[in-house]
Amino acid sequence: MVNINIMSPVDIRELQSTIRKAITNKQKILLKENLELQSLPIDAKTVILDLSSFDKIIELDKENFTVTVEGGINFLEFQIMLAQKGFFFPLDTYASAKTSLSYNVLHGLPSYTLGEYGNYREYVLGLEAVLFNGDHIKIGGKNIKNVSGLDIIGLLIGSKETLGIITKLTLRLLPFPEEKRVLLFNFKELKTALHVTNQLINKGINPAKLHILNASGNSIIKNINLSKSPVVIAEIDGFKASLPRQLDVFKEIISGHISNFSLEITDNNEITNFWNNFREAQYQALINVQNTVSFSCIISEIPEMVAEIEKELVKFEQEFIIQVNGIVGTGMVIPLKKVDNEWISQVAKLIEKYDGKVLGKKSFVNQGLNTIHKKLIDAFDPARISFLGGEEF
Amino acid sequence: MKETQISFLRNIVGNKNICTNKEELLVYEYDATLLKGAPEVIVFPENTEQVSNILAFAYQEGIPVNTRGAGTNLSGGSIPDQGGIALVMTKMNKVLETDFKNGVVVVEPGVINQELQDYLIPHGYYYPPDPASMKACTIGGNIGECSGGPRCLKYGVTRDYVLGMEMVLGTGEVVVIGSKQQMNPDPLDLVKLMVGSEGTLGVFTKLFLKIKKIPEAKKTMLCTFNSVKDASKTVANIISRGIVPTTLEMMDNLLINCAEDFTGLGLDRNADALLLIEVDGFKEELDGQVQVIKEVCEKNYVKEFKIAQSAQEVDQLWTARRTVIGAVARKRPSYSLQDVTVPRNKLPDIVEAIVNISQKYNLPIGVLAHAGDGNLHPLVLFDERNKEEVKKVHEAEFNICKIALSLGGTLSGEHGIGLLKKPYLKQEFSPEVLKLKKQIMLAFDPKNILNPDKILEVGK
Amino acid sequence: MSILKEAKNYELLNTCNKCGFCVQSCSVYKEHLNEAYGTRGRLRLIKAVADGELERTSFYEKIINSCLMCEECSKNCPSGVQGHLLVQMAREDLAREKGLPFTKKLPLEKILPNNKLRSFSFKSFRNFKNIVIRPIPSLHSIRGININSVNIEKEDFLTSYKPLEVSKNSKFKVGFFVGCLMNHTMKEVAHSIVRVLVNEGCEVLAPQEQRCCGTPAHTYGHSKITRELALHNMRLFNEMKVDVIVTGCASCGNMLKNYAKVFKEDNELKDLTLEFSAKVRDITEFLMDDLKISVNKNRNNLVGKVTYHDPCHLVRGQNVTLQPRKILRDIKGIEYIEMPGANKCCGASGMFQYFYPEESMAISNKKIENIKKTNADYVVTNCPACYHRLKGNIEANKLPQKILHIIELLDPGKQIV
Ligand code: SF4
Ligand code: SF4
Repeated sequence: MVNINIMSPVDIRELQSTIRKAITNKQKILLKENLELQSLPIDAKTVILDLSSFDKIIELDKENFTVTVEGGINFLEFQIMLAQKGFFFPLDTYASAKTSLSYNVLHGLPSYTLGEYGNYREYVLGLEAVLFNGDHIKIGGKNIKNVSGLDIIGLLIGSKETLGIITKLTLRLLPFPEEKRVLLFNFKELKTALHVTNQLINKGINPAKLHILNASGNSIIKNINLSKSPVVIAEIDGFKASLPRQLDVFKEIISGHISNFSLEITDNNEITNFWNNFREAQYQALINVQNTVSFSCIISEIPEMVAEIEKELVKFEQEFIIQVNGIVGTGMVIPLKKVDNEWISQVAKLIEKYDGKVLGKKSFVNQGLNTIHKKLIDAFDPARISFLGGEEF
Repeated sequence: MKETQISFLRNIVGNKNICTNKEELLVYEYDATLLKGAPEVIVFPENTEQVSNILAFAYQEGIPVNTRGAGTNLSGGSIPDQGGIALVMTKMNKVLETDFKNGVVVVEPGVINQELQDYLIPHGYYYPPDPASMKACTIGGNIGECSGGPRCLKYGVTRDYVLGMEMVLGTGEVVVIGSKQQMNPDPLDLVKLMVGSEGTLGVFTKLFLKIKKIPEAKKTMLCTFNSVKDASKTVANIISRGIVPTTLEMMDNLLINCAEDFTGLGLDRNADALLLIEVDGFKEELDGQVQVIKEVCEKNYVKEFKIAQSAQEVDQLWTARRTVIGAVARKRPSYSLQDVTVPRNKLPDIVEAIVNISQKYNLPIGVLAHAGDGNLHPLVLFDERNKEEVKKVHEAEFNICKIALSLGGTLSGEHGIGLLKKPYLKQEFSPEVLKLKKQIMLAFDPKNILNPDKILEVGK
Repeated sequence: MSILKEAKNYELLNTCNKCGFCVQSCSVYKEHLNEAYGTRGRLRLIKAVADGELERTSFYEKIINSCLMCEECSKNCPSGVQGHLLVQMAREDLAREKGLPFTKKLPLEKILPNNKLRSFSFKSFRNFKNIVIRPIPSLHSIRGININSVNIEKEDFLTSYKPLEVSKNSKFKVGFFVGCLMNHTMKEVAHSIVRVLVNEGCEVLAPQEQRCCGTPAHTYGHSKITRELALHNMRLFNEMKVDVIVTGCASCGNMLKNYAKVFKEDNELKDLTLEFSAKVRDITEFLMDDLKISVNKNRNNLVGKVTYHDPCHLVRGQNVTLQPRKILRDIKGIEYIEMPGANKCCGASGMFQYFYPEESMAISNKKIENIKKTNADYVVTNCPACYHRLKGNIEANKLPQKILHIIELLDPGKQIV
């Protein structure tokens, strides 16, 4: 284990000076959260940035339904605080409990609610960031609509620490849904589970969450007795008046296909506990191997694609979790034990065969876009201090 | 431009797709603002390859290229004020692919927003962004400006519905960014950057759009008030009661009267403000929401609260809303329209400020607002031929912008900066941000030929 | 001085604030997708001519003349700009400043206004058609106009018309304005109108001396001829002391109603026009609004699906849309189907179809596509010009639909099936 060089700036000025120093000393810079989630070749010179001092809630604006908050705050704690005050911030990722809000936004980690509740860009109304060129910038505010010049907010979201560090965010909040339910169903076959989700959407049912796990994926559902077959987890929320009918339609569609197990969680605390456990288990599975494939794919191709992955990977004699967001077609393939590159590239190949895309690529396929990408990096990070940005293109 | 350059372009698009007639140059010098600037040649590409060849040539020769859709924009953004090529996308107007299973359509940029809706509705789908000009504007233009519309309070703006695109870079190279999938797999989300880039970063040739199922029910309410203040308070209160209506539109007395002149629907000409509110969703949940809205209205001294009874009535109300800007022009020959946005709770303040400005400069100013998202369209009425008055209009508008910014607002909610608001940009952004924007523009367009110097001055 | 520069006209040109809302509704624009052919572009060019920025070039003439007068733009303009009237004004300016070309001058000045000459030319054309065109299929369509499908009467309606017996206490004394096209090509339909009216207890007068309503002359900017025709027709009907003037032609109806507007500053005509125009009714309007007839009985045992095409000059010109639909919906035994884009122009627009065959054809083809979508057995309309255009195109496309004038469904004396 190398000595790690952790810096914990307490304000913008310190952060700026950390970044400027890194520029002069040709050091690379990286958010602390990465250490656990990825295996990275860091050295003693690498600046590991700990944003935990940036953890204040600046303003909860009840009239405008916005919150202004520093980016270093723990994502889950932030959500709990909002919930206590009666506000709802619908995005939630496998890493919420362990990572900062900024980390999630900068990496654009796919939210469990991706789909019905949209993505980060719909919620980030304004932000402050310190760029890797040392500049501190402020853009946007509390305005729901803003097209004043180019969308730098959109560019920073999901930029994976290649442009700068977000230090403060103004987020749009929502009123809490009146009611919610979590439903779990065991399916005999993964393929049927996926077909069922297609039907749901066709019927106009828009679950807040809809996750499909293969049989091995069951292992991340703790404290619930499931048989070892694929599972669909759905969370449906909405108004008291219309929820019963949504549930009826849901159950009707699903009834013909389930094998034997189904469970409905109605108590809000139990729902929270369920997701806490789920999140924790998924996070543990991830950091256990630090080597997974995240993908995005065409929803209608998921059944075939997933079936083929299941079939083809048998030869590796390696158990793995497939988790798919059935509404938007994002997902992950997580091996239960460390795997080699051949495994990873085999998974990637199968995903691409079905027009899916492996997430987390560092450069564009196209040369013209790479030139532009490079020039953009020149503007944001001229000294190439971003660790995750890599050396060159 | 030289004759040889024009004949090169002629070879790319063919005789029927290029014009240099004086008459045609005259009709491509304007958009929906009062600004003007004529192109030297107008080209109508029919496919991506032609766009690519045109841009490659323009890049080589350093000719300005102004991409244009239907020219309904309100910021001067499509005006070829530096001459060169007007690249008119109206002939690339096909819906290429609909994939209802995955909730995606692929369209060419020249498709008219309303025509896309007409195409989707029979299948039970729609494309949420609905700018007031939806009957006339192109999807390409909507994306160039990141158009909003009444529905975006609940459903978000254009940006939230663009999954990816095929586009031609300033060099002529054809690239695809994003994909038909809901999550952008690229290393940087350039799709978001392209939306609202006002033609300065590239030319779209194919757009992958997200579509939605039409909600099964909706309810439309019409509420009138004795003061704009009461109406704006109502707006803020509705949302804090936990209801997100699809739309929350406001008109002041001047606009109510203009709308009534055009539509003759029987709107209350004496009301000081009117709110048009719509909620949608599952049918069981609407009555409860309507009830809450009604309570909030009553608390704020609503003059009359009415629920539209038929689909026809709803349509008429929406026609009244969508056409009211034009209808205002019946009062005076010209109007100028701003697009400032403020946090929702600052609505009463900015309205009050606008009333003061109107008195100070002795100019009639009507206020139309997407009140739910704090986006205002103050309409200043005047006569373009009266130079004195024009000067006053500029001053008044500059003041409105300044006040919006001082209330934590922004210059543009949905129309873009273009030429019109370019002078105000440094009021909103720090030099660091402006520098960054310029660098971004140069990264895409090193010779500054793509809609040159729109949004901000890039220079040679 | 050009009429465009006259203060009130020039002011009208300045009311367009270039919002562009009208452009997509213009069918001619939709064929070119070039701003110059959209209403906003046309207005910009007219203004350029008024300002002396542009000469009256041949391209300008083309832009001004390639307008359907369909009034879509005017209907869709929130600022209340009457695009079609400004184009009409520009045509008048062109006629005055440059004169009309022979191909328009002859029919407008000489033939159409003159009942004898007009009859003569319709008759000669009938002979020409029967002798020369009919045997040679390649001549059936000239510039996209299906000439072969147009019926031309041997003897026109007005010459052969004999008033029918009516009960003593007739409800209304009706003046029937037949219109040139119906008179010479749809005699049976004209008779149907008379029969239906008489059945409903009206006395019907159809003076033989009635002349062209003036639409063609007015459309192409010939105000002198328009005025002469208007004056003649108004005097004729006013002297007969009829209660109403009924027509089965959308364009005639529109023109007759518009006399009041067109001549509102003409002191000599003012009172006359007000009295006259107020009495004009489209046949469906008269039947449904004034007579309030009941149509639920199926008068000619028609079965099947019907759809309806709105003539521009009825739907936008006169705001008549509900009456014909009510008739079609009420008749028992037939099923009414609304056609997509029912109120879009059919592409005929008088001489437009001859001078701009490509645009006209493309516009008609869209109509044909929409007709196909309805799967209707009958296409019903209310204007002889639309009737012929649709009939020609339906036949040329070998569609199964039969085209009917709406009155044919109400006349028990008419054999349809
Ligand atoms: S009248 Fe019809 S054809 Fe003429 S400009 Fe208007 S919309 Fe176009
Ligand atoms: S004519 Fe009317 S609709 Fe057309 S651009 Fe002018 S103001 Fe707009």
